[in-house]
Amino acid sequence: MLEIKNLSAAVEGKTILQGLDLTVRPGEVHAIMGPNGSGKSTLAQVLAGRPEYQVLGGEVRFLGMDLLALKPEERARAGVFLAFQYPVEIPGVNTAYFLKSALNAIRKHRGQEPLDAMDFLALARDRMKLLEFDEKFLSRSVNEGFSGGEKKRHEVFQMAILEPALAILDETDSGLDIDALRIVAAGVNRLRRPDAAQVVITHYQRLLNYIVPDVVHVLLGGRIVKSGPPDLALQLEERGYDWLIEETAAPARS
Amino acid sequence: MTPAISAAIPGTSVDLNAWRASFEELQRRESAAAPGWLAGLRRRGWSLFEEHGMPRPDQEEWRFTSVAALARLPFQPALEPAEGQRPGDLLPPQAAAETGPRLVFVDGFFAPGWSRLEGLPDGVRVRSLAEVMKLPEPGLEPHLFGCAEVVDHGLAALNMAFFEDGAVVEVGAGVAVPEPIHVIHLASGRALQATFHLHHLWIAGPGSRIKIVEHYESAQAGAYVTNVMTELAAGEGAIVEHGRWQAEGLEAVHVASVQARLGPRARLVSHSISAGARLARHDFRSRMEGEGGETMFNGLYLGMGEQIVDHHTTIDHGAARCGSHQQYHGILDGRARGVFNGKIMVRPGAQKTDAKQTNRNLLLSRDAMVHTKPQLEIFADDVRCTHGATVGQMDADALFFLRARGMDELGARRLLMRAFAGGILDRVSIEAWRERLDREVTAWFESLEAPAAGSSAAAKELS
Ligand SMILES: Nc1ncnc2c1ncn2[C@@H]1O[C@H](COP(=O)(O)OP(=O)(O)OP(=O)(O)O)[C@@H](O)[C@H]1O
Ligand SMILES: [Mg+2]
Repeated sequence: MLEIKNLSAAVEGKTILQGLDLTVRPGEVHAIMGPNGSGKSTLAQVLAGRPEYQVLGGEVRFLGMDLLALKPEERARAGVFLAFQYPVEIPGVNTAYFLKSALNAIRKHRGQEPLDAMDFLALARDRMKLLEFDEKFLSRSVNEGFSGGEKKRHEVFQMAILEPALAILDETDSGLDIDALRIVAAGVNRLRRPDAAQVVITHYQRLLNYIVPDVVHVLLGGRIVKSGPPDLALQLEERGYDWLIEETAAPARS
Repeated sequence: MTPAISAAIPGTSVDLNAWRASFEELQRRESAAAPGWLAGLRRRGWSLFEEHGMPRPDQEEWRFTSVAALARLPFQPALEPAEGQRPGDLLPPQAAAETGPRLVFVDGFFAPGWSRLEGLPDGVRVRSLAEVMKLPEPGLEPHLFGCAEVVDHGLAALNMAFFEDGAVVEVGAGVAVPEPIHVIHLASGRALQATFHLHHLWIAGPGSRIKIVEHYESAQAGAYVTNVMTELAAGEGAIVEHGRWQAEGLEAVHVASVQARLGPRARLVSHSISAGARLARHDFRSRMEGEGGETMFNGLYLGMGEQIVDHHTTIDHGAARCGSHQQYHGILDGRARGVFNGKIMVRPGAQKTDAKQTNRNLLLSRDAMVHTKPQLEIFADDVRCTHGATVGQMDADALFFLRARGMDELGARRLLMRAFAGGILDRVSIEAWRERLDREVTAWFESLEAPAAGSSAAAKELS
């Protein structure tokens, strides 16, 4: 469903992604790991369509579409969802109002009737249970005054409401306490569907005990340099990234 | 009468003689009937005008707000109701829908046929100023032009020389007026190139409660000047909520002065929402003369095209233990220019003063501009004064977040603007008015031209 070929991208004139390839099929869960600054969030932002990131080359197909030709909102409506590493606070924008508008924009795109306030609340309550997310957040401004962990849980709550075809979770586990991690991971698992895929960016193997990926990728220097079974995460936890840096530096690839 | 200053108003090409002729005509017309107090006020106003002249850009208070455009046109006072001044179709539907008590002024004069005063409780007295001006003794001392400071520039002096009508509202001690009183000003478009000198006087007796909202709207496009002064006196423990909705046509000039005096423990909340006129200048002053008074000034100014919108506020802490809270938000697009000058004066002995001032500005275009300046004059030592100003653009992170959740760019921008405006609108406690403002402000957002594809430049390059 997602096919990235030779993707290069820059931000502020600095090239970050340098010929990245990745293929994700429906129903799969992929984990992406890699050292700080290697380009994981850049990849996520480029896929979501952040205007500040400039695509230099390559191709991304999503459900048969040319993803890079779409505006961010068109991507969201087509089913791309990014759980942000650093969720933004938006004072004065009511969470329930925002989320209902977002959902109805997506429903409209799918040719569905908009949900009214009552139906939305029913849906929200159902998904809040799934994530043990408190209803009081609905009446507050988006992320304003939320704790770090609450913001992350809020991202997954949005995912649960919007039911995307492709969810990219950018370090959703950082900032969550042990119990919250378990709850959120269980929620994410419940949101798995045969026709939907998840890309989980993380630094910690621990998360992958809860969200078991089909493939683990290592992103280094703007490229996927290694892919393997879940065991790869254990190996990284033990050995760090240095051995991979040496391994990939040696051969003159592309 | 020997001219005290040269015929041309300094700094402008305005012919002072034209204004002088108008003044003399007014005096001639009134001479027989007018009571002495009125003639006295007018003469004082005229001599103050000769002293001040028209505001000039070399005056600190008018540095960024040129009235040259105003001074160039042959604006003359509207000395009597214009022909066909009370046509039945003038009232815009939204004003007509406003329920509750209201006073309507058309082209600067009270229109009793459109006004509605039933239902006001006992202890509230409402008259037109024109009516009061016929009385040998107005009985409004010390409130009408209550202190010298209210005339702090030439346009205020012109108001004193030429005022013709306005609303005089007196609320007795302890009387609570449950419904807001709407004071609606309409320009018919029939009195072009005229200046409407309006003067309102609202007196809230000790322990009373009142809400008053001023509306300024043009029924038709056209150039004219509104020059209005509102004097407001709140007695001991009175609670006053005051609002202004300024939506005059884009050829109009709006000059407003709101002058409040607060007694001990009186509380004033005043909201200034300004979206209209090509030049809008607001002078707000609250003089807290007794202990424990409280002033809240809120403002939201919206500007597009070539509009200039200026708020000059003065909070005068004249007694101990008074609080003031000012919050002004501006949204400027096109080549619009905003001015905010917030003066906080703490007089000797005004200990335990708590004064806060915030001005935030959202610039939607590269050519929009704002001049913001706090001005603190503190002559007491045990005080808390804070001020802060910000000037920024639309938050790119927030905008992207909303789009990444499926909202289109325009909708996301409007939502963020609404949130910014909400910081002011949410403070309005008069529910029906707040809801109307919300609709008006939303319509203003929707009338903005779509932003140039600056923020989505990268996305564009791809396609
Ligand atoms: N908006 C930006 N402006 C300038 N540099 C940026 C910007 N965004 C990312 N970068 C740079 O791009 C590089 C990759 O950043 P990115 O956020 O993709 O890393 P990451 O792999 O997600 O790291 P982390 O694990 O710390 O989250 C870094 O060197 C970062 O400083
Ligand atoms: Mg990152």
